[in-house]
Amino acid sequence: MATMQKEEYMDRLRSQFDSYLSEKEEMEPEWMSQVRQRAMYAFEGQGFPTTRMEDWRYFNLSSLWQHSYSFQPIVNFNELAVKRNDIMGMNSACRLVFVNGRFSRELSSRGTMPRNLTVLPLSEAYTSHKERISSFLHNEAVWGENSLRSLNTAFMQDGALISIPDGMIVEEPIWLVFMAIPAEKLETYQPRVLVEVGENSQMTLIESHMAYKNGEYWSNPMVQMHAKQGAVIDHCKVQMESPHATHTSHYHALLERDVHFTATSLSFGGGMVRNDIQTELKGQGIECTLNGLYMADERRLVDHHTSIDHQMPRCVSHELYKGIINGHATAVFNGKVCVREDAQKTDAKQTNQNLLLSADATVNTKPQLEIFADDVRCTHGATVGQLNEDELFYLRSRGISKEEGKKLLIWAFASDIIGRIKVDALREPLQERVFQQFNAGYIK
Amino acid sequence: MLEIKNLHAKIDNNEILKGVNLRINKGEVHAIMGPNGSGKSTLANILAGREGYEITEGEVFYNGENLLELSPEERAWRGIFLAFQYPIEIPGVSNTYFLKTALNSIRKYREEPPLDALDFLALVKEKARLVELDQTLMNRPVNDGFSGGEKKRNEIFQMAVLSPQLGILDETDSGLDIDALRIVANGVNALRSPERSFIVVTHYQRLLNYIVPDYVHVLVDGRIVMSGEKDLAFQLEEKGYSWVENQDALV
Repeated sequence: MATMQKEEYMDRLRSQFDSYLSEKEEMEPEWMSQVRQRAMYAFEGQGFPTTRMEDWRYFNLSSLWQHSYSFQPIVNFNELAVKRNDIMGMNSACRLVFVNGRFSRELSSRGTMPRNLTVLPLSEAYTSHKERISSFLHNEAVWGENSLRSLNTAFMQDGALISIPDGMIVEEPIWLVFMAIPAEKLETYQPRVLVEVGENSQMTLIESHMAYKNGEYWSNPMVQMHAKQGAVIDHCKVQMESPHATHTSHYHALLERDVHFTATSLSFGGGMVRNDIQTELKGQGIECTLNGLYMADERRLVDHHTSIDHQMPRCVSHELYKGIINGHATAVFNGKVCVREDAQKTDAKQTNQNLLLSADATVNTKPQLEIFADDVRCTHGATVGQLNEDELFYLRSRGISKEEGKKLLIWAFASDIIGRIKVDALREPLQERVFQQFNAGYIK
Repeated sequence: MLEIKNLHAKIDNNEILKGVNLRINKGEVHAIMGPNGSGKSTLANILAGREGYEITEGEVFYNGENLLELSPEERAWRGIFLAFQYPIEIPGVSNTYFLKTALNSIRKYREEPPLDALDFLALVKEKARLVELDQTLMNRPVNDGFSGGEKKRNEIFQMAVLSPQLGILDETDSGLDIDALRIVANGVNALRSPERSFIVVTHYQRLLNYIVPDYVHVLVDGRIVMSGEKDLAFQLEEKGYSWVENQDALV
């Protein structure tokens, strides 16, 4: 494939955007076009992140502009007809299914969700939920921070709007299934998810990104969460993209007073993976938990950048990320915790543990604590290690083979995170999936 | 069953075993006693297949097979069991899952069908009673948060479940109070049979009041310097290891 220069790429992108916009203008309100145009200008000003930027030093995006990805993917929903029930999340009662970035009404289901709960594809909500959507999308401070977020805002093909009214306990998880059916031509999927959880409401949100078959593509999803006072939120994201895919995801959570928020990132697939998770703790008494498990082998790259911004007093944050790295793979963990001047009595704990299974695997782990208050407790710890030989010998001395023993120990390491997942319908298939990955030669 | 011939072993270039000879027949219980640093635990670990030792000379035959060529799991499949001096804690792996995987690996080697959950549970219940092991420990991670006594009882319990041909007890008595010692010893005694042999490694004679050996060997500085019947243990208790060392000097 011919590579091109950055300027040439930007010119092409602009003309792709113009034709995309004129297509969208027929279906979307005027204000949406304005948002898209502003975002496109922003992106043109910013350009792609480069490895000269501190936050991107391990993540080289140049292949994304050297090879032109189409922002107008072609979808053949019929391809999904076979085995669709085997796909994780497809049997959940309430689900929105997106294929190559586009919503599939056929595959989706509202289940028994109450009438006053909004769960809609964005493309059908622009008119009926203008206020809500535009308040998210006009928040330029959020999407303007990183050029890939601007790009998502300019090109979002579709996405989800979820809005839970005040005081509602939503028992069933809401599942967002993002399915890729890679085409011959390189395509990019840019879904956008907007979630608003009302005061004292409770919800579980699952986001899964999977490939129906192997191939090359780039998915660049962005999620914005707004949790109002006293809301309880459990969000799990599962990334099982194709081994040749690039996945760059953006998560911004705005948390109000007394919110209990848990976000778990489970990253198993993809060739180049970047997960940015940013939380802003805007009220007192918030409990924010970020958990993560990442696995990479061969020459893959998995990069997590998390940020917890303590802005108000008496909030607690716990962060536990674990990684299993094999082959020539590279993992990056950058955990930023900011404690602002007003955030007295903050209790923040960050832990990153990595298991290296090969001499050629690399881990770059970096805690980044910025503390401006004086009455706080902040701890962080990072470990990078190999399998414990004493543990392995103990297992083998009981008749468990070396391979089985390794699997068991790695499983024990991983299950620390998987065991914390509360949704059975997610935890059980994930356990199976991790074992499958082990059996498929992940451990040698 | 087991024949150790002129075994020499090094760790980090220090020679620990300097020519050990030992022959164990079916159904026999051999005690190996000796002062600290004499090589008792090294011998136990080498028999179980622990890595990190360099065998510079000698051979070990187990039922006619060259034992030193087998991996730890291959030895376990053939019926060797080491009760660890310091049992390893494995957070995240449940005792039940661990033991079931171990048992079924051994059964597979013996060409026996895997035990199903019910049969396994029944077996666990029966064997746990043998060492008075609290069954709720089965649901906990392997040795994780166990007391010293619970860990040692768990070793003997595992031995009972896996039903080896040769049980090697590495200082199983260390750190046990007299009640726990009695329980552990009763567990071992219940497993004694004409088909099963034991090597009991210990520093003190105390354990041998409860597990009465057929033979006692004294290991000093990497060599067995004295062998005898069970009375030898009493003599040692009375006179101390320096007595043997002096005898050795006279030879």
